[in-house]
Amino acid sequence: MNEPVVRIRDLWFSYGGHPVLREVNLDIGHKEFLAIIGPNGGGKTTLLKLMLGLFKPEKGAIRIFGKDPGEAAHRIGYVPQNVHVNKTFPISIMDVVLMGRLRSKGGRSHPGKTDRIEAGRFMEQLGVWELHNRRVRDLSAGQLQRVFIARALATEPEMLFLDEPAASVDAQGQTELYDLLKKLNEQMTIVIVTHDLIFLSSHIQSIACVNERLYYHDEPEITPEMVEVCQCPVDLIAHGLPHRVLRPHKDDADDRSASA
Amino acid sequence: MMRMIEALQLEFLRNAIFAGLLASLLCGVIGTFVVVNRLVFLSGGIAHSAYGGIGLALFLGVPYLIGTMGFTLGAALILAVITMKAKHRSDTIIGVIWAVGMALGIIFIDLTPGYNVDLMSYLFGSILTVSRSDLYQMSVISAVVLFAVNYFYYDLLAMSYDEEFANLRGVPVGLLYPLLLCLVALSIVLIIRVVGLILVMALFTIPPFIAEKYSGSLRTMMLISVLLGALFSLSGLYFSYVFNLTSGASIIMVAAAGFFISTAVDHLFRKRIN
Repeated sequence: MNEPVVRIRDLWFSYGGHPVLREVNLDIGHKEFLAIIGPNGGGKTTLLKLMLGLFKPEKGAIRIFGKDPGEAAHRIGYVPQNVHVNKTFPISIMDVVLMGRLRSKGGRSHPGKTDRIEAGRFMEQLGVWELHNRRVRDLSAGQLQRVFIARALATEPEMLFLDEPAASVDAQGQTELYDLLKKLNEQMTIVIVTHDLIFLSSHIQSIACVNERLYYHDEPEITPEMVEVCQCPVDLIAHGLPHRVLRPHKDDADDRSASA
Repeated sequence: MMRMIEALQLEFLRNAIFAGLLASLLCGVIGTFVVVNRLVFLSGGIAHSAYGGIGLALFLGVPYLIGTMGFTLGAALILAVITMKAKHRSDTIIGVIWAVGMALGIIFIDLTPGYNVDLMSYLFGSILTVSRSDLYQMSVISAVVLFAVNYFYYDLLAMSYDEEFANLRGVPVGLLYPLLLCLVALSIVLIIRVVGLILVMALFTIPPFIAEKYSGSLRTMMLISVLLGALFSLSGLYFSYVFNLTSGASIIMVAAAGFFISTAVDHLFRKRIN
């Protein structure tokens, strides 16, 4: 593996006196596709926000592309979990996606023609170009999710963070979304917080399970330890065998037979 | 009709109309940010703290604009810091600044020898006494505010819609938010001349409130708000002149009528669709 793009060492974080993360160590490699799972309130979103520099670690070090998170955040495309933020705000979809072009050249933020063309390109890729003149309140959660992904891509990121992007998308949409992510993964590192590993198992390369502590496995499989500490959601273990939770990787299904 | 044309010969009425239009312009643009950022209560706090500035200006014998501007900008910056650091307590702090500003104003006026100022005009506005030099000052403030909004439009839009993402893109939210509150303060100083500080909030909120429902973007919302504000100010002035009523109150009553009509129409229209 090359120099990791994310390097976290002995990270501690607490919120209002309650420990959220402790002793977290994590390396994410270039073009890795990492899924972060874990129970609600386990610290998944907090970990993302720490890596984005939105929160400051209590203890420990985070290096993104070898820099402080605050200095590297603009190289990360971020798709937040809550797409309903400010749902009644009078803003057009075009303006939402153009936010991804803000400050891309430094100085005054004033999107020019190139920015609009680029924004349009990503909207087309996500199938939301037809909505560009609509207002956010007119869109369904699933459509808005795609708009937010287009906005993240419009930043032309080297790494993509998605926080439960499939939560409000139907099954068909999910398949399309994951296929898109797989394609994007050819160019960039992807970190996705998710609940449904079943859909993703053929795309991801590694799993991190977060519940105060972080457990990392550099294969798309859940270890028995993860099942125990992360109280894996039902849909992970519902496919028949308990603890035999994921399909083997498509490409090398033969030499890997995960055991219970 | 003849009466109106006759009235337009009067300089004080022409000044009043111009002042009303300037106020509408600012109300529409800044009021839009106030409404979408839910800063109505905070703006109320800044507006009432302006009273302290009016008192201080009288006490020191300096021009009204200098006193109020200093006081409101100070209040805006204090509120900016407090609301950024302790969001969950901000409404309490706003209430305190609101009350302290008013109380300081009264005490400064108590201490000023020879009470000879019509305080009502600062509470309820005195658009009919706006002078030519007032208009020049107001034009300069308007130009400054509008330039700042236009220059930072996309940053302000991003911060208002999704502060977290704006932050990630390198928008200097920590500077932009205080700047926005300062623009609110400047606009309030100007609008107090027109409708007074008691009534300033209605003109700040009603046009953007109505406009918001029919706007596909923030820019459209500003434009509609400006037009509505102008309509309310001018028709308020007209009623004030024809029926010999206090101008500030008339403007607000027209705006309030607009508010209720818009809400009612909206309600009926929506019912018919369903």
